[in-house]
Amino acid sequence: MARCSRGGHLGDLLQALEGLKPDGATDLARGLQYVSEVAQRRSLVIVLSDLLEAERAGERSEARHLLRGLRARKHDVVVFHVLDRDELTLPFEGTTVFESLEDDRRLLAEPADVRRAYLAELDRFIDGYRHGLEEGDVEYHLVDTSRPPSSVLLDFLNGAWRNKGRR
Amino acid sequence: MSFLAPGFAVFALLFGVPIAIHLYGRSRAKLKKFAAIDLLLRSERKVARRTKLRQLLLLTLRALAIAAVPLILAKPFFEAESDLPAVVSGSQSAVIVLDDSMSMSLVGSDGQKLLDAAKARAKRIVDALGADADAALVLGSRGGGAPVAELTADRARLEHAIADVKPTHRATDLTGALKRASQILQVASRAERRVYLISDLAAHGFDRDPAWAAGAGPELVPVDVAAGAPLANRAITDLKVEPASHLGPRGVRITVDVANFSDAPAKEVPVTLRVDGKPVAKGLLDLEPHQKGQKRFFHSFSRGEDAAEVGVHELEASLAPDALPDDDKRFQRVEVRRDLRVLIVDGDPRTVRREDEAFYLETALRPGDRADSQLEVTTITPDELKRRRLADFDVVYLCNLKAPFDSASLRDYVEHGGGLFLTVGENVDTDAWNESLGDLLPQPLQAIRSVGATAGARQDGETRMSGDGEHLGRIDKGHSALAPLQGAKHDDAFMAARFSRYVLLKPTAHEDDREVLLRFASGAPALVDKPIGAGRVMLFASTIDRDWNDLPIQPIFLPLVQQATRYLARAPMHEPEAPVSIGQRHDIALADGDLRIEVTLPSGKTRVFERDRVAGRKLLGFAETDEPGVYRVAAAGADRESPKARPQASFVVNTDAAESDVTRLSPERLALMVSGGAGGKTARAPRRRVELWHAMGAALLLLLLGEALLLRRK
Repeated sequence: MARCSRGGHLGDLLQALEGLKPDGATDLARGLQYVSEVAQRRSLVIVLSDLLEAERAGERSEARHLLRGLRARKHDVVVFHVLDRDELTLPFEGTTVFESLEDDRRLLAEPADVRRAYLAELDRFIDGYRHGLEEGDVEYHLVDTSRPPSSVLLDFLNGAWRNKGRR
Repeated sequence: MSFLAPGFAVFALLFGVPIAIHLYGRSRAKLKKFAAIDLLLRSERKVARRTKLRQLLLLTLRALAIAAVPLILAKPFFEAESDLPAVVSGSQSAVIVLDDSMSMSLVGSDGQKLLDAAKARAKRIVDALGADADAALVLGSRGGGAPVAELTADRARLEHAIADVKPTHRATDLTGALKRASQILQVASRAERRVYLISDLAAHGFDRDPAWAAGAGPELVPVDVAAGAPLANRAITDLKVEPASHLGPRGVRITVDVANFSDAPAKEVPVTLRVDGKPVAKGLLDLEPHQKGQKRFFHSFSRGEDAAEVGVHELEASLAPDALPDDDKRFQRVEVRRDLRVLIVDGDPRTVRREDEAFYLETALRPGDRADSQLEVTTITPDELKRRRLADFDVVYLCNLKAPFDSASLRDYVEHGGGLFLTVGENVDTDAWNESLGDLLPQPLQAIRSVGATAGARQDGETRMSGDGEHLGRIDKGHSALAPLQGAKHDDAFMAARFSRYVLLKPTAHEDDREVLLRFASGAPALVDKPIGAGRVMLFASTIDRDWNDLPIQPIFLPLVQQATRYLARAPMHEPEAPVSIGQRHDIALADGDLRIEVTLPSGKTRVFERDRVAGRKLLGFAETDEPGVYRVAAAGADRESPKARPQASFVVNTDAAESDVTRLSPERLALMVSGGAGGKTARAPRRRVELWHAMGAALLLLLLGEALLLRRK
């Protein structure tokens, strides 16, 4: 959807978002490159992603580089790192077959056996993004999907964004 | 391996249950779509190896734990070859002779006392005896007795009796024990009669003659608890104490005999001497295999704070403890007498010393005027006698005194334990003496008799004898005053003395009251002894100097007057009392008025003997001499009085030195003994059951503990 300043564009945008279906593999870098090309004036760039595919494909540094580049061009960049509650805690019990959402990879494991190692890995993953983006003055928010979106939005509006506006 | 309850063992197959659950659980795993699969895969790779190992361990532990429970209930065991005699399982009447002598306290190479091994073996023999068998138990130490003196089929009683056997310090008497076993078996109802002899089979335990004639006794089955291994031991076998005159009256020479009863030489064996519990000397001794050696020590006992008291000292010689520590110590007891106080009343003092009445006597009592003569001699004139307290002296010599005497003082002195020695001479008026002294005289005086030769003219200041004079005729060697002077050497010395003059004594009706120690050749008494009250009086029927005889210049004079003085003072010279052996009865001398005696054993235990065992008796028999060491005696003269230590009555008990020799009985002698009995038919060799369920129970606990730990480390 191309950018537009007419009055009904916001409604079209929301409608398009509403109609999105999760499908295919993630290619966050491509999306960011596109934004970088089309956003000529100072803009607000909001990224909502689990960032997981970027992690898998080794694109973490590229995505981070592009986000920091957008910020360097005076865009306001906000990243909502969206993760499921199960992904944050791995609360399962008993022998479980974990199946990838985007390909056919599977893992048979005892969650209790791998929980500690998984949570450590997850912490490293989140901290890597958080510190990398914050160093580039990109606003980072970790979002637990179990929270209501309104609560997340209020936090965003009452917090860092408002402070930034004052600056 | 076998099972007592094999039915339970089938359930051991349940060990497959955890494996099946594990496999089934994998196939029933829940499917979960998961976006962060990359993170999960990376995490799993890190812990995969450890997790798999832990899971494998857990699975194994659970499988084993489940299998262990039915296996334990099935009571598994296996049978091993038994070291018990093959004949033990047959029908028989048996007597178990268990050696509990001191040598069985030796610690073997396995760190176990031989007696403990013997008890275990005896218990196993009782367990293995056939159902149709009865048995008795006899101990192999001297005086050990028979805890089960008759044949019984009661296994529990036999096992209790075996368990109650304690190590002793007693000597071995296996021949005596075998004889007793043979007597018990004479009434046996079973055809086969056996004696199981469980011992270290040391040669010292057997007499030369066998316990029973060849073919006439029961079958002897020796069980060697040392399994033929050579035994090693070092011991103190003797401790002798002798006077060491060069160290003075309180000096002693102590000789310690040490033996090495082993096949290896012993270098620099430390020997320690303790006096009254304090170490005073130490020496080293090298001993070749099966050799004895001696270590000598010299020691001088201190006079002590109260020199008037008799000093009793305890000696202990010891080695560093070895495999048999009981014989590494030996004890002895030494009495150091106080100095005796002697008063000489000189009835014919002279300015020329040699002519003085008391010169020879004084010289003999204090030879060389040495301070170590143990006699404290005071010489006075008759005039000074009134000013002296006789009770301050042990012995009073009245030499050639003129009558009258203060007979009341003299009687009081003697009746209270004093010793009075009377000698005659020119100053003696026989009638005046008889009148003044009365029955204090052992025998009344009759007249002075001159025999052939008389005292010659004085030449060169010495009295010389002329003619043969009269010799002494008879000597009462049985009298305790003269007992130490026995022997031909002393007899000749007595006979060498010649007497020119002596006092004849009147016959007396009270022959029983007095004893004649010496007689002249004519049969007339020369030295007479009479007890009066608690004391004694001796009368010598001639002079104590050379006026009437030449006895003072004979070699016998010095020991005679020394011995008479000690006899009158009731302090005769004597050898140290021989130590008592373990188990030997000792007679404790009692004093008049003793009402209670306490004997403290070396272990500190006390035995009390009350009035009914003590009052009015001279001796108290004490038989509980089962511990080596010093036994201390205390006595009380009244019922409520606390007993006072009586060191003179203390005594020591030592182990039998023969018991220390652990040399084994030769195989030839042993074979002869075994062949002496009537052999029985040998049953199938018994087998020993080794039960496993106790160990498996412990293993199960460990498995469960291991599983809990593994789960906790998740």
